[in-house]
Amino acid sequence: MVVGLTGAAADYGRDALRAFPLVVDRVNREGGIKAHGGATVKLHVADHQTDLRVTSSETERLITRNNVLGILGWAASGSARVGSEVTERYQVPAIDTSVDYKLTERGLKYFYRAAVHTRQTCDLGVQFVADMEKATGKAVKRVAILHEDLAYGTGAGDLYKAAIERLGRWQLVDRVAYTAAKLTEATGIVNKLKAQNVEVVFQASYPADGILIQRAMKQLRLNLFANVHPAGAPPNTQYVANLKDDANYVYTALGWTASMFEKLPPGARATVEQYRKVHGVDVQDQAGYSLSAAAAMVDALGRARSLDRAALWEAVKTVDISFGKDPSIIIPYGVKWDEKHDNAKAQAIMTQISDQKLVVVYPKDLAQKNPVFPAPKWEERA
Amino acid sequence: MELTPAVIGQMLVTGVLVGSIYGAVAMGFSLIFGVVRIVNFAHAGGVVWAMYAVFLVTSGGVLGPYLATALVIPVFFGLGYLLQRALMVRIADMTEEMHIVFTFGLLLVLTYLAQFAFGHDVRFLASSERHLAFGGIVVQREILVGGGVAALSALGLHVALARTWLGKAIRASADNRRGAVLIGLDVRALQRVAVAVSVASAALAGGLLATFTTLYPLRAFELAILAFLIVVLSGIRSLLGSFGGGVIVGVLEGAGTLLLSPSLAQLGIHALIFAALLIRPEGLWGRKEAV
Amino acid sequence: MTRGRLVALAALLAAALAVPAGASGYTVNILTQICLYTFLAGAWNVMALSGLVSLGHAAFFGLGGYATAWLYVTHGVTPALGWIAGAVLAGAVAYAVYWVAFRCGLRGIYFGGLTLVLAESFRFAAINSPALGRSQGLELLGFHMPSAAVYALALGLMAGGMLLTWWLLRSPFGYRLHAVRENELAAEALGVDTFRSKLSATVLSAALTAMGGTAHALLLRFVEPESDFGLSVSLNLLLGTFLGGTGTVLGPAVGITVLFGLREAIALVGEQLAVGTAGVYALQQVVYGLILMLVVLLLPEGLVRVAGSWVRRWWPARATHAAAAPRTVQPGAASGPRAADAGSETAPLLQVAGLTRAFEGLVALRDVSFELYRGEILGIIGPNGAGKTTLFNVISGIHPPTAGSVHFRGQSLAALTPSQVCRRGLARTFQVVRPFASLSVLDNVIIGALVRARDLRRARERSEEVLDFVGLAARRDATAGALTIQDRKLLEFARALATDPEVILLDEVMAGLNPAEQERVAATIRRIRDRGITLLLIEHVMRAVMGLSDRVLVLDHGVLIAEGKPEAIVRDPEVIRVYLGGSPVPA
Repeated sequence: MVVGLTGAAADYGRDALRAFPLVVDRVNREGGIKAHGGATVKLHVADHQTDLRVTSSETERLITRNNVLGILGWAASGSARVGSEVTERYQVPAIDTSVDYKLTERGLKYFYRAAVHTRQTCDLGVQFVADMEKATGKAVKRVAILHEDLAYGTGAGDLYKAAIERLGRWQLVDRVAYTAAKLTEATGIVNKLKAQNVEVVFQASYPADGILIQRAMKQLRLNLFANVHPAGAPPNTQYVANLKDDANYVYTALGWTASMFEKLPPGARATVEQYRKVHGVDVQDQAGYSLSAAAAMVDALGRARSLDRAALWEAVKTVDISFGKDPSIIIPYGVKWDEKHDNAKAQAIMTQISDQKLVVVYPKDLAQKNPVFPAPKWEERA
Repeated sequence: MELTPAVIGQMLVTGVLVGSIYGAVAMGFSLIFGVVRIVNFAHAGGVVWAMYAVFLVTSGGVLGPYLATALVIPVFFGLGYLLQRALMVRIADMTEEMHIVFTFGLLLVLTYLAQFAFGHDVRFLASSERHLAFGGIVVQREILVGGGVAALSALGLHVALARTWLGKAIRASADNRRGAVLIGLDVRALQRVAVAVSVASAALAGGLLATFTTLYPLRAFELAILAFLIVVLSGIRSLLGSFGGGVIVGVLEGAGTLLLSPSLAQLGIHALIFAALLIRPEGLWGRKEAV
Repeated sequence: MTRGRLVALAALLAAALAVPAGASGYTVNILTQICLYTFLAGAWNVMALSGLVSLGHAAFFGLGGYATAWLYVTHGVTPALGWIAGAVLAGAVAYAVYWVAFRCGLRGIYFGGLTLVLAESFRFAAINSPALGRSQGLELLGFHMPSAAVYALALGLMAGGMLLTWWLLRSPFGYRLHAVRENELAAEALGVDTFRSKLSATVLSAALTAMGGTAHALLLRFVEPESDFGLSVSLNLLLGTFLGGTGTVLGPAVGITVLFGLREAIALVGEQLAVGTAGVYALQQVVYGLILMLVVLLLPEGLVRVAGSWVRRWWPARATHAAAAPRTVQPGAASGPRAADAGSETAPLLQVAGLTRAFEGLVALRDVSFELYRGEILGIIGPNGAGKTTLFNVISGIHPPTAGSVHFRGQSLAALTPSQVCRRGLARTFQVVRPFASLSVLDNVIIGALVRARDLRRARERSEEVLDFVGLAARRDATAGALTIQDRKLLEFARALATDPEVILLDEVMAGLNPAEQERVAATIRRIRDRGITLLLIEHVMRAVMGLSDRVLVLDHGVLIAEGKPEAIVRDPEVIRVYLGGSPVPA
């Protein structure tokens, strides 16, 4: 595995570092890869420091020095871009957990993605608001996109814009890109949105800036029908921990949240509980994708005809794990690749923060509560 | 978008107040450069550690952030004194580039030590939720207090340097080191005091920032660049100048956010500093040094 | 470079080229990065040679990468052309930006700030430019270049860069850059066109950096704002160069190798110690920072120089040569005819007319007029603040006059830079001596000699002759900073003489010397005059002025109050009043 353990993407790298060994250790405890005489799986760890040069050399180190069969990584979009070029060159199968939609639009042969990506989460966000508009009769007129200006946010902004234009019903009054690292205070941004009377904000943020923006929305009483994120800030535990009740009613589309625990098959529940026990925290979405990625890799190892990269690749191609079959799969509904090598079985779900918890509100079969739309005005909140 | 007086007022008031706090960050950076002639990128590391210190003291639940800051400042004063005595004095005679390498190394140490100790998680001080509203402008209390304290401390430091014996002695030793030695000033002791004051000002800036912004270790790098740019824009050796530079950057950020976008505002700010440097090569309030 | 060395180098290169055949892809990758960054640090070093510290070389690095990627992605242009386009673009941008910056007189921390802001502006421009893919960057999809080829390219760049540095350090251009770094004003006064030297160095450096940026884009096949225009690129170059030592051929290579080696070693140790805790990775960065600090504290000269001094300590035999033996050289043959001219010409050599210079209301010179004739020694005296040094600064082109004119051999010196004035044949020394402290005595003089000499060999011959003449030949290999005050004054003479001037302006060369030393300096001045060189000297030490000068001018508060033979001046009541405080002149 090669993930960012330092640098800007260290949060996601840390989740991956918690999740990957969990799967590998379990396989080894249960007697290794049975098809290959109980061979144990060895996980080499490398830190790409969220630095592209280091990504390139560390990925190459794992491949040529540690002679790994496959790569789990990179949990950061930029690094995945560079790292996947390396795995492609060496014809090493790689399963990634980054969410940037562009990664799988490059026609790579050895690159797969287990995560629910931004095209899914952004499209769901727009679709969801459109559905709610119909269901409640509250007409939405003016919407805005607010995103941080690195690869994640910019990509999400593009996707939101395309989806809104496809829908063609709303007026997209503004698209605001901001620099997360330079943000010390967000009333300037919110002031701008408020001056344009927006009703729905589609927002892609990191935790530190997402907190500031939400805080400023309250301060300036920017009352929205909905504030919708593609994963990003709200799933991060720090978001709710710091904002408390002010985080309520925020929507975020993602592949996994801890409150889905109740709906899990028993095996998957055990995995989540073990994760909680070992690391003292709930499984986050990135950790969930990492579990899926590791499970897919281990599954492929078990089905590979021999222990070499070509055979592993053949096996990775045909990964098809159903929800409930493999205890490591906690993301509904399993892993299977589509023609772009995205996970066709993983589906974006919509959650809303309610009483400081992410609660699933869509799709129906996973929903725990009905969405609150529009969100109550700040003045009316307790 | 309708640019009502309230919208513009909100932008200006917040811009000035946040800019004042930027000024407070830059002030200490400017002081150290003026007196010891060291480009101290580690200054921002001090700011971030002060933020963590204030955060930790406050989370004990007994002291509010302002009292915590008041507690942290003398500690940082002492640390600054030691910093000059133990480290900075050893590199004083080296070239500017060496100063940059050294203080950047120190910044790395401080930043990642913070990450090691406190983790990568984002922290946010539960704010008072109190706002001041007038004419449609809503200002968070902490930002109002922060901007005010920053302005007062800039003024206070300026007066202290201009009027008190100690301040005059520090300025004299900065302007003409040999002359200061000749008239019997203990230049090394004065430098230690100046660096101590600078680090204490980092603590103050950190304390003020901690009351309203999010905290994570890598903020140190951004603050280092921010302080450096403000000081270069306003001209070294002018404390009030770097305060003014902070306000300019704050207002530009606000105006750029409102009229363009925050990301384009960053492009604008950098382009404007670029232009300003070409027009005023010694900074806005800088003095031409004798040939 | 000897033939043996060339063969050894070629063998080394061939061996390096063969590395990919046997090594793992990782090794090749790291070596490629090391070669590339060595090259980049070398490019940075070209600029650092002139004393300019850039914190924003990422600007040019990114221009190279982006130009190549953009041309390839949008127009299918081969990176080979993109490579050149990037270098040309970066050179042009550097020319425009630095032309203005140097004209505006930007320096020191402000210059560093400007470069940083430039890179950050480019980064935010890329972030906000849809054509450049915003933060999604541009990917060279479908571009295939074997890693061995990328490695060979990086290796070639590195070797080329090192050769360039090697040549630079031995070329007149390199000498001039050194002089600019050590003391810009003194360099200018010695005929170095500092503006052009700095501009050439920065443009060259920027173009080279862009080439490295292209190679980097080929290595990663991806460009994006942060990794191409970000601060970490600039910092790596700075750290690497300074670890290794600026102004050396091997410095960048050593510094970058150590930097990369450190990072890999720390990562390796970290991996052995404890897999599974993210905290360890934060500690790695802490160790990295600590090592940077320690290197500054313990090896501030840079690794290469420290290693070099160790080597010299163990093999001391090679260093010394037979320099000490003083050769008797007749005062230059060329000066003979000139000496004969002395006094025979009636047209003044230097004509100062109505010269006024004011500094923000303070008038330092008021309507000063005088003439200097070929072959004479003209002394200028006056109390402190009389405007003597200002007079020199105006004549030598450092300050433009507020009013009035200076003509040298009938031609106006108006609007000339100090270096142009020097090239016309008017050299000067400084009251506060300004040696190029870290250069050798010989190199100091060579910089002056390069005004006339066409190549370094001739400049060296000329310099050795001049050093013999002023009596510093024995000290020629000493570092200028280590000289005694008296020797430094003689060095100022030597440097000025080396420019082969017709007139030398001497600014208080006697100050700070004891009587015996003053006598030695006075003798040198007479011998200079005997070579046919005309002298204008400012002096505080009365006895020396009176004894040396053919004529004396007296300045007071910027006004010329007396002019005449020394014997007349010492009896002039006005002079006695303002300058001598009423007491009779000591004989």
